Amino acid sequence: MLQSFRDNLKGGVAIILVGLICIPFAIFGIDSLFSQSSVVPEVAEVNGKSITQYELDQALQLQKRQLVQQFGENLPPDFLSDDRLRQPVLESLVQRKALLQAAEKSGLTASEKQLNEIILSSPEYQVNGKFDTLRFQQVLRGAGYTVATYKGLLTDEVVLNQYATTVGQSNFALDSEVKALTKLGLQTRDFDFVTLDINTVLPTIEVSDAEIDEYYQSHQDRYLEPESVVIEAVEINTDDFLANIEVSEEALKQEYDAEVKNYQATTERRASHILLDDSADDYQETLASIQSRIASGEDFATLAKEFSQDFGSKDSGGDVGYTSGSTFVEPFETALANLSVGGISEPVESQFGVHIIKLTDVQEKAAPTFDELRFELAQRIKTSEAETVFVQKSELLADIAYNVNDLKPVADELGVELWTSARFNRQTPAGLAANPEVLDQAFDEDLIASGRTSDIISLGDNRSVVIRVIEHTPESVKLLEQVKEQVAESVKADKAQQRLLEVADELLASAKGTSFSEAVSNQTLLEGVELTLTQAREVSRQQTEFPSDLVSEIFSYSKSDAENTAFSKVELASGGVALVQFLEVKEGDLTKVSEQELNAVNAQLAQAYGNADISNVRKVIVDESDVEYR
Amino acid sequence: MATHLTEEEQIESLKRWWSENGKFTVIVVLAAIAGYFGWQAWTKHQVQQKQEASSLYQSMLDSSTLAPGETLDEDKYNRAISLGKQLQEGFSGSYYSVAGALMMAKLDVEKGSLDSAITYLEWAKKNNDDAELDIVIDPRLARLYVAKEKFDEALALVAKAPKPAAVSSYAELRGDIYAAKGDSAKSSESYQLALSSLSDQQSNRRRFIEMKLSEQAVSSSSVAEAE
Repeated sequence: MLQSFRDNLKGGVAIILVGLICIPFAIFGIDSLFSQSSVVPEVAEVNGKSITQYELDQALQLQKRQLVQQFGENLPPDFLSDDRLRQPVLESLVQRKALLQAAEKSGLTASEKQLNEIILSSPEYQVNGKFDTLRFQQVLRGAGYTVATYKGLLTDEVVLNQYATTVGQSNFALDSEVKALTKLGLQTRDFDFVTLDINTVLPTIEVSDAEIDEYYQSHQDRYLEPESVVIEAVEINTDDFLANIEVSEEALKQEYDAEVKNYQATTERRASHILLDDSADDYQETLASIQSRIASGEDFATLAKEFSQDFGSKDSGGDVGYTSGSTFVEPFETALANLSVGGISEPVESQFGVHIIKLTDVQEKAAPTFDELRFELAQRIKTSEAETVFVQKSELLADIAYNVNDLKPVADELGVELWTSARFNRQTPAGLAANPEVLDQAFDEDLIASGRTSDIISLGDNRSVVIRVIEHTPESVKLLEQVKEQVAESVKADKAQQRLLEVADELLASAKGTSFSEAVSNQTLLEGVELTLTQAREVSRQQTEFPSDLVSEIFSYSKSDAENTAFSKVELASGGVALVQFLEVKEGDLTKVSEQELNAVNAQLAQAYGNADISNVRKVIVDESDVEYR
Repeated sequence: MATHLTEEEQIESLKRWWSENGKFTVIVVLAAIAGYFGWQAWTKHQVQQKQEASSLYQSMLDSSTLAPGETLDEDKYNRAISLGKQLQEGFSGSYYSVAGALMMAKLDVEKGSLDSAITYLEWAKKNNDDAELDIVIDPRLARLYVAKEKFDEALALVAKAPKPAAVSSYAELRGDIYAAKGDSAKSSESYQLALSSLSDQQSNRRRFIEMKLSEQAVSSSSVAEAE
């Protein structure tokens, strides 16, 4: 190849060409040709710049950590599922990328000096209140950053922060605006109202079958019977096989022999001791006195009580319990092992001081007998055999239950009971069906449609299930007979409310030319019902004394409505209707507001304006970005 | 076409070529190198300029950011303003100079010097290159004009939102201006538009706008019916 290159390389043009090819290599370095070979898949592209799967994964992790920090471990697990978080996290990444690009285009950046200041003052990288290079590098390495990539990230942060501050924090609230808003907030309104209670008319309402039928027909979505199924299932379970397994005497003997072979007989020695402090001045005399008293046959326990420095044992006559050879320090154990029962040792030195030791008892622990182990061994053999059977039967189940449309023969062949459920919907499964995986399969579209068996569903180590849907009823409208009462109640409530609205209209009409209170107290439309007028005065937006839907209705009226002293009717969310006469608007009194309160409103309003700016600018930038999701 | 040349012939032809084109080649190569390094130096200068401006702006932010409850004392104010003016003079037209002017306007509003705030915002409007910042600067300027009762100037600034994202904010501001002018009908109409074009992210502003709307004397439909 090089030869033919040389052959063809002639003439000035070719030489210039080679020269030109050389220049980029010389200037940019050969690595620039290879450094872009990224293999990480891309999840979105913002104005031609990609967001990689890696970035998304990192952002997802971060988001999850923050959610856990915020809400604790008892967060519902599906809250943290990737499915749920992926889209919002990706959108915020896209937004961030778009903002960064816009900021960069606008010429925002951070100087080395700024970055260094941030790093130096960050408590994360400090040891004893001072920046520590080693720690800085450690933290970075731990997070998988190099200094350069980290500084790149910091620059992004600084830039985004400056961008947000420029747009948001530089907004302000004018005194005039603050005062106007405060005044509005303090405004109160006066009104009179009566409530037409739905319970006063309900007893008088009659409902016909035709009405019930009509209501039922037009509100079928309220009377749905959910989708339901009946399933049959074959379950194999290690426990079921246990009972049928016979263990022969021979097998037990074999198991016992194997068990005992590994068993080591142990010797347990019980010790008492007297601990002496050999650094004490009178040590020698004490020791001599003890030894002579022992020699004269005095009780060891009494001496321990009198002299021992081991406060844990002196009161129990120096007794420290049994050892199988490794409980105490080595010199102690050695001396003890050389004693016969009742024997007392010479003084023994250890790191605790000097011990005089007495062996009080020896117990040989022999291997357990066949009868002692019998039950345990039988159980062990049965379980292991049951597991073998379980594996065999699982394979058999997988084989014979594969894609068949009747589980009865399968159950027979396996020698287990066929289980049939009662009818259930997604909310009412019982028994085996209540297991989430079984429930999921029970409403699987394919299984329902084909009527064939499911794959093996494994419920833990030693339970396997195959199910089949034998009956399926799709979601349906309940029969009228089933819900007649319920429908009748709804029709009644509707008619009662309708009646109240009519009454309200007639009262409004009759109130013309007379006063509201007169019209209300003289009403004859609602028999036997006395309507009482409530006078609501100086009601603020925040009050809780009157129904909130009534108050927000009153505050939605414009000022001129009060001048017209008009009546109106308001349907209440709680049922019933209110008749209202809007009387007066009382302006807020600014003289009652302190300077401090005004300052607080100022800060709030400035922030609200600033946030609106940030939100608008963000939206413009994202709107105008070319975003592609992969 | 492969006419094989001997080594000597090749050298001969190279020499000939060089004597004909050598001068030109040298000039081209030198120009390319000079151009490249010139470009490098220029971008480096640009970056340095930006970084310097960023540092200045950051200092300005740091000296004017207040802890809650703190008020800006004279020293901090003077320092912030002097940094802002350095940005205006040394980096005129850059994003940072405009950002600095916005901050200075805020500081002066807080001091009660509305005229000076207007001057800064007018400077920012004139020197701004970023379309996104228009929707930040114009409404603020308009609000200051309203405070000065220059209603027509204010209306002219926010007559039409240049970006769809700002339609609601602009409409709300027009509602405020018409209300201040005493034109209830147009004010109500503007507030209605502000409400109908409000984005979900800003639904917390709905209550404000509704409050202001109910102040304008146009009968609401439910009452009109009952009459």
